[in-house]
Amino acid sequence: MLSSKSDLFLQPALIVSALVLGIGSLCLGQYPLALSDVFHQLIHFSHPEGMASQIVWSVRLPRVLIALLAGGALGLCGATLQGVFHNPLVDPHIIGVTSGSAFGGALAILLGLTPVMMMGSTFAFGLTALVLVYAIAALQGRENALILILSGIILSGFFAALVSLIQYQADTEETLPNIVFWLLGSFATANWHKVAMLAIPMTLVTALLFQLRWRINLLSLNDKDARALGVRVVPLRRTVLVCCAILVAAQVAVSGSIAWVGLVIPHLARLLVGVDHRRLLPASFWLGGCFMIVVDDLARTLTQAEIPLGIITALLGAPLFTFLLIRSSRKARQ
Amino acid sequence: MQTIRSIALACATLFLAFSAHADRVITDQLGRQVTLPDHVDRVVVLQHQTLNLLVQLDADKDIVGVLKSWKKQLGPGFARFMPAITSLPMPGDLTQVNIESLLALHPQVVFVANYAPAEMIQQIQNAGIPVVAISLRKDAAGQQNKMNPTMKDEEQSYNEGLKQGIRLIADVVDRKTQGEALINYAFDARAKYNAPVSDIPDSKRVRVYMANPDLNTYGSGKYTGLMMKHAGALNVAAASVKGARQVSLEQVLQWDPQVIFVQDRYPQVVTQIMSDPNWQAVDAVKNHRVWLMPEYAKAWGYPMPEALAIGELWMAKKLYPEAYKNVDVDAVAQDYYQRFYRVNWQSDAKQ
Repeated sequence: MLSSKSDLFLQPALIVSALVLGIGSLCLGQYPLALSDVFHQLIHFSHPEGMASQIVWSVRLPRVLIALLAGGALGLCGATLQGVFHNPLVDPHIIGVTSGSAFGGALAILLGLTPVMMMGSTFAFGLTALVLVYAIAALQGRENALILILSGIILSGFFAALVSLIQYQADTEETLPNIVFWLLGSFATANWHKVAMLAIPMTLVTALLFQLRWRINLLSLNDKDARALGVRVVPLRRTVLVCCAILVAAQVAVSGSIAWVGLVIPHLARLLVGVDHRRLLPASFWLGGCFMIVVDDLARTLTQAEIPLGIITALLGAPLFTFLLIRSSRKARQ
Repeated sequence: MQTIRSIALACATLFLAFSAHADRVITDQLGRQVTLPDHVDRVVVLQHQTLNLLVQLDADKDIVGVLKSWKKQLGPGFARFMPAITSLPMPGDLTQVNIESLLALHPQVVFVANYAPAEMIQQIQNAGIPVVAISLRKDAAGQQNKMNPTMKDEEQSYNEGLKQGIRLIADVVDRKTQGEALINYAFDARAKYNAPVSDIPDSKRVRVYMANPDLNTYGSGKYTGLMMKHAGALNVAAASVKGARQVSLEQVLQWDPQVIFVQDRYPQVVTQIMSDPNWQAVDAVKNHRVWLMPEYAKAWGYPMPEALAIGELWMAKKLYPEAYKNVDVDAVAQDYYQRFYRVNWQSDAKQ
């Protein structure tokens, strides 16, 4: 157990660093704006007509907020699912929701649907995937962590194949580049609608998960022990999974699927605050947000055009994960 | 005194209102109404076909930003028609844009492809910049942003669409005379050079396969098939494939094309096909009729005026040399390039 003193200090430090990073990111971008301009715009919200105001308020701010929320959602989901499935290799992809959502989005692009319908289709197929996971588990007559993981893997594979089918069907010169860019994830088209679309379900679900944070500790014991402690494992796990599915589906709907964050961030958070979910969940949220803000800063400033997020998260995430693994195995040997 | 002042003020307001009305409204090829400033001289173009057309309309001086993949789409040689392009900012690509990079260029209009994501168009529009989408097709309502539209009459759709597209672009950058000249030249040349092969019945036409890398080809609904038709050929893929797609080798073997064409931008495909043992049974490979096309014969999904004017002629002469004994394709090409690209064109040694 970490001392409560360092704990008291750590959580606010993470929140403050996320906020500082967010405000700092408002000063970055391809449009040349002086620092003084940015802060002037932030403080005086008076003339919304000027270019500077437009850049700060309707380009950068929604984008930074979406990055924070999406990263936070993925970190939180990853931490929760790793606990629920007693498995450090789990990430939000494992329950099949990401692949389901990716299929929904790709299908919408293939059919040329409007942005709103596309978000709807992404969200709907994400949740469909979760329902199917439970259907497969129900057909087997059992519902434990292993069965759910296996069902998730089955559905991930199935939906991934459907996405490939769509890519194969798509016009290679017109639609395919669209689908590929979307699948790799981007915050390039961030706006206030999307912030709302992500923030509203997230607030509800995150609040619920946060309420359940000590019960998730119990879920991370094995099922028998949890039952012995008087927890109704199955309904609790269902609630938690539905929450995670909503988070992931909302995130994919606004920004495309983003890999690695949900896997690496919980490990990093565990290193900082330990395994207790009461502290791990908020820490994962804020760390995920910080990580995503940095990734998005790179995505929009490294070149004049946009770089897909999935490329950067993997390039940063893989070495970071390696570093964490080496560190923890060295510690274990000592 | 007070009245005079208020009248003066009213006049000033009216004047301002009118000068704001100096804006014009045009309809782009997605059927969107776009309000443009009266005079446009800062253009960002995120579609390579439009970029090519702007250069031919002598409007390259007005371009302040281009798509990132122009080199890949138009070939590095495109820089000789527009030397300034190598130093131009590249704020986005066909399907994405960095909105801040775009705003930093202060463009008055942005050209995008008809298949650019609706979100991207919306985003640029919300930032206060007019967006003009170009499809070079004249589609039925509701089909405009589809990748593989259902077309009643491909021929009409592409002919009228190309004219409409050139007129639209010319209108936006105020190069109307150049636009009409380009349309007339391209369609006149096509009519003249297509005549010798236009009466060949389908059963006698040369069966042609268009080989893009990795077994990708163009089926029906694309300009490529029309180009072949105008040159007296038959696109073997058109019967069973729709749009730009990947096909299987078995399918190609079954089609057994007599000629395989490869676009100028994929020269490696010729050697791949000629050296691959699996392709040796194909009629075109057996008879060494796998041909690399010149740059102007743009057998793309989208029609380009140079493909109509000289590309179809080149292809027809390649397939039916007897019918075109007296036509010097290189001279025709040279005339075209001099006229619309303002450069002295030399035929490449490799052709």
